[in-house]
Amino acid sequence: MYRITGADGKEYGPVSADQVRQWVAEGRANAQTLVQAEGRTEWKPLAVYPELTMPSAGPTPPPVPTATTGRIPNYLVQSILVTVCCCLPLGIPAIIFAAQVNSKLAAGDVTGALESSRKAKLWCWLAFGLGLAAQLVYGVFYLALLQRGAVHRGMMLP
Amino acid sequence: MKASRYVIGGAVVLCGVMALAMVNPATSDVFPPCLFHKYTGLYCPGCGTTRALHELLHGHFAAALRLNLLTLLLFPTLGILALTGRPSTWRPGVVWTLVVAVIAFGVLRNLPWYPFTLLAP
Repeated sequence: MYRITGADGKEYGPVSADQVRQWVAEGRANAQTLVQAEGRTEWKPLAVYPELTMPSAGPTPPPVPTATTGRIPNYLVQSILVTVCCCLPLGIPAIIFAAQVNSKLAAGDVTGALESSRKAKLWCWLAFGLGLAAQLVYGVFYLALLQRGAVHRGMMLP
Repeated sequence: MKASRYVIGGAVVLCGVMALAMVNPATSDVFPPCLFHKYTGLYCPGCGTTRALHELLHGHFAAALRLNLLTLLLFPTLGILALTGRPSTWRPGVVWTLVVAVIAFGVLRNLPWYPFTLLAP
């Protein structure tokens, strides 16, 4: 049984070798598609699995122009935006994991890049969620204090 | 589907730009403050971005750069890099330079000595 990472970055499976071969025949997967064999942790291009590359029907579709590894999102832009816009302490780990994706891809470590990508995504959402929640709580309290006259407009300027 | 998304996104951005142009964040509490600065007293790498964008929209480039040098240089840089491909295809050296720039700017602008004080908003 195998898991594959589609061109959309999502995981599919586990499915049988027959199913993967059928996806190849249909053009939904190709030699660059990342595949994880059942019970293994590493992701490798489909081309290294001889049992999957034997075409059951039709020729293998030509490789897609953009290498599949370039489609692993690194969340760099998102992590920089959450860091400078709302939530510094949680945004820094997100930025560092994002940069790790590029280093690991450059070193050919696809499994590690996918892992860093997931961590970057997690920290981005943590930073975004907590930053937004903090701003909302602050905003509600500020409005409440304004209404009671406990603070005056302009007291909370940057 | 996609077209409507662009229309909504464009409308949101336009509203934001209009609000930024009309309201001065330095003298109004309409825009949210940086909570990191508020509760630690330290400047984060993004502090001053809202005020800088306001100054930029009024053509005051020098004032904008004084408020936040990093984001004013970083946003166009990210835009140019985006033309070369997806962020995960950018060279690791380029990406780590961006990471170091963000962190270093956050540290340097908090130092109490000239010329680092120029980086504080």
